[in-house]
Amino acid sequence: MNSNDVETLHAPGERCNADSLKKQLNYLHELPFLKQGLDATKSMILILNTCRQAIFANKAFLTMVNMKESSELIGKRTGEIISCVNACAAPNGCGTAAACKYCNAVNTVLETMTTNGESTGEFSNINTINGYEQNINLSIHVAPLQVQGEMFFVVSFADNSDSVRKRMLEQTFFHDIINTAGALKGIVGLLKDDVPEKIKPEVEFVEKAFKSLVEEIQSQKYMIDAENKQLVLQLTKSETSGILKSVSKLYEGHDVAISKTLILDDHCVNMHIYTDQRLLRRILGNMVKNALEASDDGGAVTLGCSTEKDGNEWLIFWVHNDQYMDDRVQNLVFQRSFSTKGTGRGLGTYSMKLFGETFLKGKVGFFTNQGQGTTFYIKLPLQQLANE
Amino acid sequence: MRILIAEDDLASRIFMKKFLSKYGDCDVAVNGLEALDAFLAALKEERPYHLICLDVMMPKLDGLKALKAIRDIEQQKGIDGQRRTKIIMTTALNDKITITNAYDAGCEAYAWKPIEIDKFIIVMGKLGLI
Repeated sequence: MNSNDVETLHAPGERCNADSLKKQLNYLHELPFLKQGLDATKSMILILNTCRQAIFANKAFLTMVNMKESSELIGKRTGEIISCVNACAAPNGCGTAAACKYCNAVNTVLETMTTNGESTGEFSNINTINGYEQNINLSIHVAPLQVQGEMFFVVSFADNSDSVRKRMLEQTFFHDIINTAGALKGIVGLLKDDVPEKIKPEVEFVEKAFKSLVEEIQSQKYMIDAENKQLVLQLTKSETSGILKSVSKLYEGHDVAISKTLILDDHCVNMHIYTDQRLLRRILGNMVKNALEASDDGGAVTLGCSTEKDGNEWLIFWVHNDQYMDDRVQNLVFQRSFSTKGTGRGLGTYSMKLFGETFLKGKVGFFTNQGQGTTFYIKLPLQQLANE
Repeated sequence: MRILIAEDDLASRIFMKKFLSKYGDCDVAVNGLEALDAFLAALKEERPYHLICLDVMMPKLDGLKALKAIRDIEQQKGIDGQRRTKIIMTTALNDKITITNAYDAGCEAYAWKPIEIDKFIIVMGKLGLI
């Protein structure tokens, strides 16, 4: 190893000399199944020495960097192999430029070198391919490997450009669209009282359309947040009758309710509860919407709530229609993307379970039989609903 | 009541101003830096804001940084307790870290967008603003 002081603004810049590299390559050749094993995996793998120089790359890695043989990259560092724009920004190559302080491809390897444990990171990198700068997003995992007393580092990469783009799109899209659509809904709501009587029906229509639009956007956002375990519960005090009325109001004028009747049960239990109204309304809304869609013209859907004791005390919100669900539907109804309404649908029932059980800690289910129809319900523990 | 609305989205700005104008004189800022300038100018005039609505995601200086700066300035000037400006953060983001950071930095309340007028009025009442 050349141990002279080598100029660097971050990671050590020194490299192994040719003899040391040759010795290290021989170690690997002595491990007969290493190459075959690593070539058999789809993960992109590099093995680095303590100077962060490559001494092996598997087939998947070579394919990513458009190389045919490992020999083309022996002795080079990761950034030099993937044509990172910062790899030639300092005389001693990858890891030694000022910008490298913020590069997780270098820092994750350095972490393993320091701790001698495994480390994981995510990095985004600009590289030059065919003369054009391109942005890539990779996740990186580094594990130490000792061979004949010498340390090496097995670095595996996975391309996560799609998930990073999706995450950014979700965040930007939802932030901007909720901002604007929500504000427009608010402005129209405030203007409603100021406009002449003649155009009031049109303004009310626009307000209702914005309300539905915002509801739809929020429902998608809640679900993505819930799946990413980022949904923050907002517990507020509310009355069960208020929740049922708001759900009923949302759907009584909805397209799916045309030629059908939505009934609020006369015997609903009314009490104060602490819960996340947004999620509960969303769950009940989906139950009502599905029940209306499944009903024949002239059919009725009933919405209600009651209490039940079975060791624990439960508050049960339920939605009933007179349609029977066949055996296939019964078995698939809560699966993500299962729908009786064609492909690309089916998030409603899935989200009922996700919101109702994972976040509200209740139980979501249904009863169905040919004589009496179908009842979807959410059971919430009363004790939990009493706590602020 | 003097109110400052810091919001980079035009529609949100118009909505907040129309809604809050019923309760006081509203000024608007389109980023965190402008909000900080307006806050300092109001202090200089000895007519401080009673309420500042700060959007979290704003250009130049985001809402969280503006909030911290406002609280630092108040501390330096010995403005404490009930004399501090009431700050409600507004945002379409609802991640736990942002909310925790906002409360740690000293906001009084947090309003998710779309703003629900009824809830916002209740919060203003609880803060003693109306």
